[in-house]
Formats: sequence, C-alpha cells, structure tokens
Amino acid sequence: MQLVKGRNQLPTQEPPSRYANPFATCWTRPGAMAFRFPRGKSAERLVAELAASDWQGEIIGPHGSGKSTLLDTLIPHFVAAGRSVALVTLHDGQRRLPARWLDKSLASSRPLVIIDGWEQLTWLSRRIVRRRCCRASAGLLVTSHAATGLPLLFRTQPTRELVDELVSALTARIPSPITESDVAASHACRGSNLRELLFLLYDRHEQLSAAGRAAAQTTLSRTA
Amino acid sequence: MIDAPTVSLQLDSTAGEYQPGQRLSGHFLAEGAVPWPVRSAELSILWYTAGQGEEDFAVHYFERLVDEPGRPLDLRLPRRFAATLPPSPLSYDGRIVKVCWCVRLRVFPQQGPELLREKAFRLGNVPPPMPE
Repeated sequence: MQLVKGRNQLPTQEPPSRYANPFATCWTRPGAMAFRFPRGKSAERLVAELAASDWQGEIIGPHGSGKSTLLDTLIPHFVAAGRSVALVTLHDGQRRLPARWLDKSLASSRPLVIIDGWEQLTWLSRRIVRRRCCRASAGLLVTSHAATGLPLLFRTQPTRELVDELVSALTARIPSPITESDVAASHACRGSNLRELLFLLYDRHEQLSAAGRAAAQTTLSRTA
Repeated sequence: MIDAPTVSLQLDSTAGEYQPGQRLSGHFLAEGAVPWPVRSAELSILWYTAGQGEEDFAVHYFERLVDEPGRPLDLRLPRRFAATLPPSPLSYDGRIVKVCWCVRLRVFPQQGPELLREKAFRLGNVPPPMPE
C-alpha cells in the first residue's frame, strides 16, 4: 500500500468520488430518489384524485418528509395528463412569488401552478394566488407543513419501514459500514425528517469509513 | 436486438494520480465481435462536488463522436483521448464536501438505454482530513 506524501500519512485511498457515500445529496435529492408510495397509492392514482378535485390540492407533511420528492415524481404524470406545469420552490424568508411568475404561468394552456413551500408566502400573497388561479381556471397544488384549506391530496409521513427500505435501496448500490443500530439511532433522533436522517447517516458513514482507514493504517504500520 | 457489449474506459496511468498541468490520456472501446450500432458517444473530463447540500460541477474537456448517415459508430476500435489538467480545483476528500475529478463516458446506442462509464482520478496531493 502506498502512503500519501502528506502530513497525516494516511494510506492512499480511492480518489474522491460520489460513489464513496450512498447518502450523499446526489443520491438522495428529489429526482435522484423516486418517491415510495404506500400500499394503495400510486402516481397515477394521485393524478386522478387531483383531477377529481378540479386540480386543486395540497400535500402536507413535516420538514424533510418527502414533499418535494413526491412533487418531482408526480410532475411528469401531470404533463402526461395534458397540464402545463409551472413549479416554484420557495425557501426560508421568500414571502412573495418571483416577479411576473404567476402571469407567465397562467398564460399557458391548461396551467397547473405548483408552489412548493406555500407557508412561506404571506397571507395576502396566498389569497391573491388562489383568487387568480380560480379566475384563470388554473390548477393549484401546494406543499405545506400544515393544512391550507385546499383539498388534501397526500400526507407525507415517513415510517421506520420506509426508512429501512430507503437505506436498503441506497446501500444496495453503494455499500456502507453502517449498521441497523445506526439507522435506528438516526430514526430515533430525527423521526420523520428524512432529509436530516439521511444527513446523519451520511456523517456516520464518513465516520466509520475514516475509522476503517485509520485501523488499516495502524495494521500496516505494525506489520511494517 | 443486439445486446450491449462491455465498454471499457482506461487511463494510461494506472496510479490514477495527476498533478496540475500534467497530461491525462487514455482510451475507450467496446469489446465484442459483433458491431454495436451507436448514435453518439460523449467523453468528458470534469470535476464535481459531492457530499451534503448544494452541488457544483464544471467540464474541463469534452469530445463528442457522432455517427454518419448510414454509418453507425463502431466503438470496437480504441478511441484515444488526452487533455492537460488545470491548476484547480484540486481533489479533496472532505467529510462534508468532496471535490471529485473523473473521466466520464456516455454512449448513446441506436437502441436501448444510455450507457455510462466513469473513471475517477485524483488531481493534486491535498491530504484527507484527520479522523476525529
């Protein structure tokens, strides 16, 4: 084994790569990981339910519970159903929609306005959006941490079973030294916040991998 | 339908470690006796960040091979590539963020899904952080 010509003399590792940690953002962000529907639910079914409620609906769930991932999974199905999707994601402190965004969105044919982070908007902005969508006969789908008054389309509630399923799927592609007790501890610590839970597992994977490398170097030093 | 063959991507240096300004070279080819009709192939040398949070990337070198009318690409002949590596960003294997360099090959066959091959390499000698 070669040694790095550096100050810490750790053994040479593989070059850094996204394949080093199965919990890196590139594998867990919305779009990289498909939403896992509970039994009896599917993307097609949710699209049908939204259509049945005149394309008005809300997705409710706590922070990091998979609302954006669900949206990302549903959007191609909305497009296939003939809707012109206009999506905006609002972050902390974003109290208004981007200038002219709603005008442009409502100008398209059969618009479906999707606002991820509805609770960020002010009360007045929310009211204006709803009124304008109603006047334009546009669909409106929002994600929020609490009820908004729109028909409930889905409530994201990650369970321990779901966490296990996700961890299995992620570590099937990229092996990890984390154990079942690490997963249990992360779930106990972060509960339904999947995003934070996966961050914890990312850290744990890094910690265990570094410890493994250090142990390998100790063994190497002793044998040398 | 022709099954996708094995596509290999190799760097000439087996160490996988390069210094800024050094020339990286290698080749790729499809193994198999039967021609495998390919529409195009894209070879890029790029860096990206991986870890928690926002991600970034930039392509340092890019090369695209395309078929001609009536003449699909035959990748059974080795295709060579080479590029001089830039001064930065240097590879870094941090806990929160990693700066990763790789050669990435994307092959678009006439039929079937895109095929992706990656070869990671290290640029520079930045040591990894000390374990806590």
